[in-house]
Amino acid sequence: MRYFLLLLQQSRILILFLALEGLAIYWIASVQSYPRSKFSAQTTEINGRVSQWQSELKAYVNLKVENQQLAEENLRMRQQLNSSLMVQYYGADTINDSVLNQRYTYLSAEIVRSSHLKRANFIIIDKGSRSGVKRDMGVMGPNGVVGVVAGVSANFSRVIPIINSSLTISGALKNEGYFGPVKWPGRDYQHSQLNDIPRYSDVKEGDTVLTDGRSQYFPAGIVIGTVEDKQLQADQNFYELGLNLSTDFASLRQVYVIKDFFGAELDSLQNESLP
Amino acid sequence: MRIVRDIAIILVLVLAQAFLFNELFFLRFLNPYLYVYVVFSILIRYPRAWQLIMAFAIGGSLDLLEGSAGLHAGATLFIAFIQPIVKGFWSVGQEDPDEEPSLKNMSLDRRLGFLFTAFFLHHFVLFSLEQFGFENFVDLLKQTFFSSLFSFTFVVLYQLWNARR
Repeated sequence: MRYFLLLLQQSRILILFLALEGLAIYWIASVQSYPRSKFSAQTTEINGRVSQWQSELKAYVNLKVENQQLAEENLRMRQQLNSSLMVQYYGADTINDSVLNQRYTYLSAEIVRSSHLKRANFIIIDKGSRSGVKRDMGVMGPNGVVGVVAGVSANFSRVIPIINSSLTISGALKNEGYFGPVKWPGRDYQHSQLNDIPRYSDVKEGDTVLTDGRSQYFPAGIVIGTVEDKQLQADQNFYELGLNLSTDFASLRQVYVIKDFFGAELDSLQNESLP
Repeated sequence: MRIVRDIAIILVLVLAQAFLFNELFFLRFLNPYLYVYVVFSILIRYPRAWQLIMAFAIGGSLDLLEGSAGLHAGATLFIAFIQPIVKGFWSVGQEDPDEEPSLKNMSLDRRLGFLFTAFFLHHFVLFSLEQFGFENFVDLLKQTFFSSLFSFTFVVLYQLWNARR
């Protein structure tokens, strides 16, 4: 016993080190891998407040780029308006479409802090549980997919962008419908990777990759990026496609949080236990 | 009185790190982490246990400000723990081991060698904790090397400026 106490006494620095390092690693592990990650609301709130005044300053500097992005988005929206579509009525059939239900609504939010040059990138936005943001909601920007909400405090939320390798979303080729996981390989913020596209598909450079209805976070049809190159995977049966991401994370400021009215219903169906 | 001054310097450096140096990117991926320098210059005068606790607190407060969840706490604690070993490695054959363990007592070349090794180790732990594993090992080493060189440059400038005074 005496020797044991002596041993403890002699190695107290080592023990202190191991204890504190363990604490740090526990802290990291509780955050780092997305589906299991837990963010304390307090940390998110502190990060958000500290970042807000910084970002207000930066907003002035970036106004021009911002306006450009909004103008482009307006253009796309305008093209989808009823006034820019023509109804071709041939008088041969009747369409009764009063059964449409609103499924998604969007909440606009501003980025108060973000990183895009690290390996574990994060975004903090200025809307939180008071605005109805919940964990696992999708987030998109004017040019396409941004990420998924991973932690919420009263006034801020923490978003894991698709340029964080702990998030995998489902992406599909626009032309052919083949789908696969989009996962960031961790090199630079403009490129990502779409895997498991069958070898017999006729995918070409420049093809658009969209979100897939199978993904639980996003509505179908939001742009993820365009195909840049293709390569056979190690198993020789599937392509691994290099993607050029459509969202420029370096200039992103305004995002939309996607609320799915039928999300809870879908969840309960997915989590139903087998009899 | 000295302890108040030390704490003030530490606070200023942590704030400068969070709001200034972290916004500074060179070649799109190099980020200087200068706050580590206090571990070698200030914490070294305190007892071992306090060194570790302070290193954890400094890294942890930076994590809170930056939202990086434990990365800096882990890396700074590691370097605070390992630094006597690194220092011993760089002062093999030195005559006076009884002197106050401070940077001033090392000759310039040894001091610089020590600082570079220490920065390299700190950045390596930081980046591997950040990606939580050792995939893309070559990329990891490359990023560590250039980043620590970058931080090191700042420290060398400071050392030269200090030496001239």
